[in-house]
Amino acid sequence: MRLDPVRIGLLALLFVVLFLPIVAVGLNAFAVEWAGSILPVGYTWGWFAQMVTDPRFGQAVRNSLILAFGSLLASSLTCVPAILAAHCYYPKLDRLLGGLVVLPYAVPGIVMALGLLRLYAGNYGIVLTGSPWLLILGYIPLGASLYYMPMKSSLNALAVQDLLEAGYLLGVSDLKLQWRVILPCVRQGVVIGLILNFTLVISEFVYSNLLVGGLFPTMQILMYVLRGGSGHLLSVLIMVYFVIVLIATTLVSLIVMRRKEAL
Amino acid sequence: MSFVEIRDLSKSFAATSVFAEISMEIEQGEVCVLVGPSGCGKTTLLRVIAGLAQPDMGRISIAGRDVLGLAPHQRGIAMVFQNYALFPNMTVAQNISFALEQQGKRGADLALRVAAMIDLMELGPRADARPSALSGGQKQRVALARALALEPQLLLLDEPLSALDAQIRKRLQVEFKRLQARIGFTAVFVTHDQEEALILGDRIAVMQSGRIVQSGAPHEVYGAPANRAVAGFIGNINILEPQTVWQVFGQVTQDAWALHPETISLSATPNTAQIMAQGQITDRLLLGSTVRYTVLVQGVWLSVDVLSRPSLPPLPMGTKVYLEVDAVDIRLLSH
Repeated sequence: MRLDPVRIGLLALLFVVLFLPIVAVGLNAFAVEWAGSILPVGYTWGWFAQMVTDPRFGQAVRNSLILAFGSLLASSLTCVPAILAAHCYYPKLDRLLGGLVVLPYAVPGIVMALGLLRLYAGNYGIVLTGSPWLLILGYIPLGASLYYMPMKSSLNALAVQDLLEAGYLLGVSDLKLQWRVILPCVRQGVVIGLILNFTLVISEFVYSNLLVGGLFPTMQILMYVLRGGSGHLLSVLIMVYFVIVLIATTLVSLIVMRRKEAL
Repeated sequence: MSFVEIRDLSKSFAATSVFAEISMEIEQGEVCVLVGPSGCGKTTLLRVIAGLAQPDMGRISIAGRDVLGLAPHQRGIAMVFQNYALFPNMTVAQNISFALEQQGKRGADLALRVAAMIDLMELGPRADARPSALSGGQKQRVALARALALEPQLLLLDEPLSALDAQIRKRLQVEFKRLQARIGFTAVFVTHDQEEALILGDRIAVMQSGRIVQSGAPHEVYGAPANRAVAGFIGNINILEPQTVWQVFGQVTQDAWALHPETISLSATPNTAQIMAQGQITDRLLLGSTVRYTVLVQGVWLSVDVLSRPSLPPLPMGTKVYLEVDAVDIRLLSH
């Protein structure tokens, strides 16, 4: 294939536009000083050391990971069985579910947050105000679509009805069929959903700020707090966040690339 | 009492009747082929026999046991689905062993049975492959192996060869026939392909619009179709209404005639045959061992099959020919 200089130029430009902010933040995290010059004056690990020793950093990372893994557990235990059940046994509900999962994205964040506050502020007998549980439960509807899309893609590639009926003829229960046949077949869709949810929760600011704020500070809250202070420390925090998200998205890419081999 | 007995089975979805008053009997070791056009109810009938759908009324007994109230896996039935329904996350061997595990087979007994089935279906080199890595023919054999491993009293096959190309289908038809002769299983085989039905069936049941319109040995159904619908579906039979018979052959009859293409002889000169007509070849198709001519007689097109012989080239288009029919080959179709 002949290399087209215009195409290469455009791709290079796109690459620069996408990666320049990340490179700039990275350089700022290591810069001794960076003002009035194209590149920093010198480089240091000092900001990293200062950030790591700040008790707020450890607390924010720990809280973010608690939220991420907590919400993964909660959302996977609710969304995955619901999506499987709707697809396999209740096709009419499945169509409804397809509409419901995009609803949280159609509603403004503030409305959703207020709704969650009303729901979990004791009006209906559940009091979770200021607790991470409020976020863990609140992220479930947000995460549902992130399971729904990849799982539906895997499920649609299966002749589910025939597989279930083949199982019934063998005397296999529904639960066993789901566990031994259907779930392994959509495993990659579930894994993609898990990683996307992880990325969503660890990046999320609006709900965590509105619903629990300083009572359960996450990395995003700490970023918000640090915005008025040292830009270098903020850059360090952003880089740590980038690395975590990068690992998650790399995993997604690897899984997506392997999907064709699965079935 | 027959091995499989179906009595007055009816099934409808809402107000639409899928099939009605179906009765049939299948002897042990017999392959009964349900044949009919798409939408005639044959797959639903199979699903009802399997217990995957419930009939509105009727009775099904297998080996003297009424199975209608039983769950699918309690009926002693195994099924091969149209798209095979192999478990995609399992290898060939695991697909077979998973089926046997449900029957409580474990350990050496299980391994031996799986190995025997893989051997029987000549799947040895593909035992560790997943279904996605198999050809259509191999998938079909795995599905059959999984079903036969259960040693079912009745094997149901729902158009298992329909997704395969013609060459593989023909090979697998022969393999199926050989396997059936070797194991002697009892089966109901659903197809919409009349040729496949004639090849595979010990008995053929022709279904049309939710009813079995004719049942019998393949030669009976082919040789003596019960009505116009069967005649039109099985084979490439010429159906001549009484006025057409008069027009073509000058014979007076009350009933329509069904003439198989191979029962009409062609000759260049007239002879003493009583039933004879003159026509002109308008089309010809080489079908391997036969040549199918379309002959225009008094404004009516007739299909005539003649054995093809390498030493004799097919008759050219436009050739004037005489058509002769032996009276014993005429099947009368009453109204």
